[in-house]
Amino acid sequence: MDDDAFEEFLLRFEPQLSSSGERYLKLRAKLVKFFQWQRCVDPDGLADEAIARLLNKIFGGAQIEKPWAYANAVAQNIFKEYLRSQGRLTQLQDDWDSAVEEPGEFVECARHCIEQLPDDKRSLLEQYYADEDGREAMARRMGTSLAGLRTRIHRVRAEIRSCYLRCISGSV
Amino acid sequence: MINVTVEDKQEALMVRYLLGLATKEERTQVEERYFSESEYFDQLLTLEDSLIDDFVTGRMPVEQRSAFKEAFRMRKGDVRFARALIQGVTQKKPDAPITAGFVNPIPAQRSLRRTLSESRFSLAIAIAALVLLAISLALAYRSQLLRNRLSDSEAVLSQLKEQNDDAQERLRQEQSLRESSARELEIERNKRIAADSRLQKIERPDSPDAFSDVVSVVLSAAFIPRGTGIAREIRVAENIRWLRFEVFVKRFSKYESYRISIKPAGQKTAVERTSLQAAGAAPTVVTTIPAKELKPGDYILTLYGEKTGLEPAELERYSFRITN
Repeated sequence: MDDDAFEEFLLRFEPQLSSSGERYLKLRAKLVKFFQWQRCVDPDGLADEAIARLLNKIFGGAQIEKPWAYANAVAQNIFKEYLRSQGRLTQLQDDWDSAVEEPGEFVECARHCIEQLPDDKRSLLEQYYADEDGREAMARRMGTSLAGLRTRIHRVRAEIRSCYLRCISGSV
Repeated sequence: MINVTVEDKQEALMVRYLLGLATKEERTQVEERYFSESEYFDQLLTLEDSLIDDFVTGRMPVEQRSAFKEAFRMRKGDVRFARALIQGVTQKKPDAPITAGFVNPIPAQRSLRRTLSESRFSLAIAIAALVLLAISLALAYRSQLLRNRLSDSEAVLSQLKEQNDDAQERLRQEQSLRESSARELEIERNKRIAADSRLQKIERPDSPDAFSDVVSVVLSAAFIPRGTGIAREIRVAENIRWLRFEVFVKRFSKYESYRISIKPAGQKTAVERTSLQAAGAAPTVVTTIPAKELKPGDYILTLYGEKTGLEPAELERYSFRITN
């Protein structure tokens, strides 16, 4: 019964996705991003907490009319609690130049992952970054909008990022 | 007159939100919208990518740069990734445009009134000068390449030395921490947690607030690490839907954040959680994973320490077995 309740919650939250797994991942991604955009220290942990509270509510038998509004409200509450517990945000040292200058092997990992892509995706990426001012024309040639082109690039980047993180951790 | 479309206004609002410059009302509007509309959420993600790319390539307007640094100060890893990606795709550093060198102009052709020998001599001098200049430029370029490679190699060597020092320090810490009294204390603590959980189930068997579908797995040096042939067994009943892993990290307090990866023995990583923060008096790193992601079998959980600018360092491994 609890499984059904959660499945129904996910279905109403993301009706356009085809599986419960995808819906769960989308819910979690929105929560993680919410806490990232609020500049929280531990967005993954806070997202887990939000999901635990949603489950608690659902398994308690509550009827949630608007799942997206409820998820938003839970996230907002957790963020307020986080602010109270953190007090004033810690002022981090601004060492942007050294912090973002990547060691050579990070670039090698990126290149390795790009080489693993199918030819069409690699070509798309190369064209996109070769001519920053020509992206609108590139989108028109592909029969899509600039926003549509950016969405495709975002998906390819996500694929590369997954490989890149495994590579820099030594798992690849 | 400039026509500002609805889409332009919407994009400007999204940029303000991502840079932390939106008003409270604007933030509420954006958040309500992306929780309810996945397409809007996807647009925010792609716009975020574009902002990071603009920052990395130097295309971001000056007035936005400070706001970007503030908004992304916890996410320098994302900026590093974008920089590595762009460099990997374009084969050049994104904010170091290649500038063309200048070549001295060939001296103007001499007048026909000059004697033939004088003309030839001057031309020869000019050609020799050009050749020497070309050779000098080539040598300078090669020298710069070698300096860059040396610098990269030194950076890698320095990093490897630090990793080696970390590994030796970890070994010393592990040896001192294997005292039997600390191990017994951990075992007793976990027995208490398990007993509390069982007591809760007995007292309130039907209560949904008891988190009866969550299994907490506490890991620390008290449980025998990998290599000794003994694995922690975790029984996952049918009603269990979540596994909550709690890893004590008191011995590894010098890291900014932590990473947990779980993989079936002998296979690639199945689950990974990054940028985890330690919390509590213990302190402990916690992550919750859907039980269906870990089928019955043997697993290895690896704990990594994360530091800005360095590769994640492996700290500890735990073996466990999932059974029904």
